[in-house]
This record gives sequence, structure tokens and C-alpha cells, in this order.
Amino acid sequence: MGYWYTIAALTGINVILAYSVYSSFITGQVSLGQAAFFGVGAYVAASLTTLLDMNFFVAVMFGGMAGGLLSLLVGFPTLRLKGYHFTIATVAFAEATRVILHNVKFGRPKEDGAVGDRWLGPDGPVGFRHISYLNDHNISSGEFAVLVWCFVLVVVGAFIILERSRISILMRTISEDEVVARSIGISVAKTKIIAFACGGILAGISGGLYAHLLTFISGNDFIIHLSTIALAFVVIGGGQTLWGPLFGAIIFTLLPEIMRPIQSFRIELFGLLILLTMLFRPSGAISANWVRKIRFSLLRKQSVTNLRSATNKEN
Amino acid sequence: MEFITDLLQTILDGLLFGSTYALVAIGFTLIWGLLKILNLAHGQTVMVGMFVGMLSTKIPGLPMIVGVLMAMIGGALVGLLIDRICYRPLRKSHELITMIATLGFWILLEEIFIKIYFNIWFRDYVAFENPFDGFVLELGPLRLRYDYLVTLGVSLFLVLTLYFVVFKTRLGLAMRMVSEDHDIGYLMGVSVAQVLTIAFLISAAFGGAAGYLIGMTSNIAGPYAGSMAVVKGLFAMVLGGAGSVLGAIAGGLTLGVLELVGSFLFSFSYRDAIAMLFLFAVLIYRPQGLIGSRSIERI
Repeated sequence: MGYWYTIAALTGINVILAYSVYSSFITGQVSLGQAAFFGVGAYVAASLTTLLDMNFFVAVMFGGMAGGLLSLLVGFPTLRLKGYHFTIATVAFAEATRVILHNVKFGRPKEDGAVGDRWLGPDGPVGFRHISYLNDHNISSGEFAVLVWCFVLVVVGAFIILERSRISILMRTISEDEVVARSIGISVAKTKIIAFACGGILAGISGGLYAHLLTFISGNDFIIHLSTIALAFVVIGGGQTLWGPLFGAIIFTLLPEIMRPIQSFRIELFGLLILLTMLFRPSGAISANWVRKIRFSLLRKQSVTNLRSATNKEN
Repeated sequence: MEFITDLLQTILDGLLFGSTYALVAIGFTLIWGLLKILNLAHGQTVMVGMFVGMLSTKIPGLPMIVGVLMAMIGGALVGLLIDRICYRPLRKSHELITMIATLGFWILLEEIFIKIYFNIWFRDYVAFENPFDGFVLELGPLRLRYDYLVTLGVSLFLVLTLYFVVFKTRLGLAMRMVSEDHDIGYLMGVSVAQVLTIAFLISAAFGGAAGYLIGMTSNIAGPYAGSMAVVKGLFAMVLGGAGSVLGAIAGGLTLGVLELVGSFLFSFSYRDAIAMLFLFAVLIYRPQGLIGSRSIERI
């Protein structure tokens, strides 16, 4: 059962990561550098809990802030880059960050360790071991999964509010045509920066959660694969509505786990699924049209009864 | 004085080794120039080329030229698959879709190869025999490794061939036409789909050759080479200027020099970070790359 709790927590973490891509995706900025913010968030949060004994929740929030600050650092200079140039700039930044994380070393010696394992904190290429907050505070994997999904609920709720507001229309206008957006008075630069920074914060938070789930992280966890898979969640689930990233992340984390009998071929299956989805549903699994249709068919009954009662009154 | 000699030596090595990056970048840039898509699966042609090349060195008495040719054919087959699976059916859709499809292909092929490597050799890396190991050409105080020279020679030959094909043949004319505009290409009677397939084959063959050369100079062949090559090639292409072959060459050589000089002057472990931050800076100040003209945006 513990295994499934871990999978549930991992799914939640991936959902938050998918929303971090989605946040800038809807303004037309396709980021392939979320691994950098994810990794920095993981390192910051894990250092705070292991070295300073900080509260888990506060530490994860600090991880999110670190991711947000770093994304501002990327977001400002890359504002004028368009399309693929932006994407590749984010990849370059993420790779640089990965190498720095891979080599960073700070912390303090640990007394009660085996030989060669006497360091608390990030230890260069060896990685960051002993992130044992959950174990020390008797938080079971089930409780952690619930905690992660609380984060997910908050994030999804925020995106539902955003989707119904004027701001989301402005954001999508920017992605459709930046010149038009500017001509009708949308502050393009501000909106893009804020969207990208929100993505950085979300990636940092999910990184902090990830570090505590795995208890061991190293710089090489945050390679380009992670960023591309985060983007794949959004593109496969569908980037047109907020349900796409949710669906994409859940399906693509759970499906390989459910296929237990062919477990050793999970990653092949993952690749094959990406390929097949793109070939047969290029606009993503959940398209805007589809959502509209479902919403319409749900609302129709209600509106018909409303209409009837209204006409009855008139008679 | 000794420092200057060492620095010169490093720069020279970087230029020679950078020629393999240039080969990978040319493969990228061909597809980018003709189709405006990022072919993330391009690294897999490098990996297959390395795999085939490593097998070819196991056959005693086989000349190296044949090995390179075999690697190129192996790479080209992968290119054909990419064209037929990831590009053809998605021709009409958004370029992001094609990119994600190539990502899926990349993960699929890499995992299959990891399984094959592990089942045959029980480990991730296999030795790639280097026929030029230890041979050095002395040039005053500078020493040139033979395998680096061979790498440069093969790269130069391939680039010159490509130049000849693109600028002196009818096929090249058609390719340049298609890179301007697909629809006008159709109207002028160019079989666009065929030209694009050939472009995929050439691009992938370059990847295969690069795989052979990278494997030979680093003495190992492994299934993760594709992931490394995709990052390096992509960056070399963007550094020089996306879409131009000259830019890819300049970018590849710069990246080679940058990595070696970075590890010589600063530290080996931060070498990739230095190269990537340099690329990030270049992208911000010159989005069109080192070579490459600024495109004027008309509204």
C-alpha cells in the first residue's frame, strides 16, 4: 500500500510541475527549463529542513520562492526572444543550473554515518543524501500524499479562478498575436514576466516536495529529460484548457505504474504513448472543443428547465 | 610562455574536437532550415552511428572508411524512420506537436537500445577501439592527436560534399527552393515530400558519422550518447545561428573551444555550465546567433 501512496504523491508533484509549464505556456512562452527551477526548489527546501530544521511547509514555500526568483532572472533578459529562441535559452539556463547543482557542496559533517557517508547537505557529484524530515517527524507516506494533494487542490483552484477571469483571456491573446495584444493595451511584458515567475514558483514548490519524497537528490536528476517530460504533460494533456495538464500528468504518471506485468518496458511505453497521442490527437487528449461540448451537454438540461419555468410564469 | 603554449594547445584541440559538434549541428540545421522544426530525435542517429561503428571495429581488417559509411547508413535508416513516423503524418500540424513526437521517438529508441546494450554486455558502456590511439603529430611545441586530425578530415570532407550537393546540383536547388517556401516549391513542380525525405536522410547520415567519430575519439560507445549529442548539437546550432550550415560549423567549433578552454582556465566540473551560460548570453544579445543576419519583423 505504501508503494501506491508514493505513486499518488509523485502524481501530485507531477501535476504541479505540469501547471508550472502551463502557466507560461498560455502566454505563448514554451519553456523547456522547468528542471532548473524544480532542482533549485528541491535543493533549497531540502537544505532548509535538513540543515536548519525548519518547518517542512515553510521550507517548501522558500523553495518555491527560490524558483520564482530564479525564473525572474531568466524571464527579464529573455523577454524579447520569440518562439524557439526563448525555448532554447531556457534549455541553456537549465543545463547550466544542473551543472552548478551537480557540483555545489555545503553543509556540515555528520557524526553517525558509515565510512564515506559523513556529510549532511549537498555533497557535490555524490548528491544530497539524508533528507529525512518525513522519517524524523513520523509522517507516513499516506499523510505525505494527502499533503501533496492539498497543494494540488490549491493550485488547480487558483487556475480555475484564473480561467474564469479576464486575465486568462489577456494571456491567451498574447499567445495568439503579441502585436494585437499590445495594440489593444495589454501590458505584454508585465503579463509574460508574471506568468513565467508563477511557473517558476510552482516548479520550485513541486521540487521541494519531490526532494522530501525521494530523500535523495543529485544534480543529474534535473536533466533536459525532466523539462521535456514536464512540457509533454501539457502538450499531451492539451494546452487549450486547464484540465489538459491535470489529465496529462495523472495519466502519464499512473499508466506506466498500472502496467505492472510489462513493468520493465515502462519507459518504452511512455515514449510510445507520447508518439501515439501526438499522431492521433495532435491538439492533446482534452481539447477546448471537447470541454465546451461536455459543459454544454451538462448545462443544457438545467437551462431547458429554467426556460420552461420562466415561460410558465409568463403564462 | 608555457601557459600560452598550453592555451594554444587547448584551443587547437577544441577546434579539432568541435568539428564533431559541427557535424551534429549541421544535421539539426538542415531540418530546421527546411522545416522549421526541432528534431529532438536527432541524437538517436548519433547513438546508432556510434553503435554501428563500434560493431564495425570488431570486424578485423575492415578499413575505417567502410566503418564510417556503415555508421552513416545506420544513422540514415533512423532518419528515415523519424521522417515516416514523426514528420510525415504530422505535416499539417503545429511545429510543437512534431517536436513532442520526436521526443517520444527519442525516449522509445533510447530505452530499447539501453535494454539491448545491457542484455549483450551487462553494462552501459562498451569500449570503442581506436586505431589511432597514442599516435601524435608533433608541430613545434604543439601536439596534435591523430584521431582528432582524422575527425577533422572526415568532417571537412562531408561538409564539402554537402556544399557541392546544395549549391551545384538540381537536388540542392530544389532544397533551397523548399527552404524558402513549401507552397511555391509545389507550384514550381518540386516534389517537396521527396526533397524533405532526402534532407532527413542526409541530416541523419551526418549524425551517424558524428556518432562514429565521437565514439572513436572518446573510446567508448554507450546508449546515453544520443542525449548528450542532442544537447550539444542543438546548442552548437543556435550558437552559430539556426538554419545556416556555416553557422552550425562556427557554433560547433566555438562550443568545442569553449568547453576545453573553460575546463582549462576554470574547472573541469563547471565546464558545461560555462559553455551554457555563454550560450545564454549570446542568445540574449544576438538572438540570431554568432553568424546569421538579423531578420526584420514586418507587421
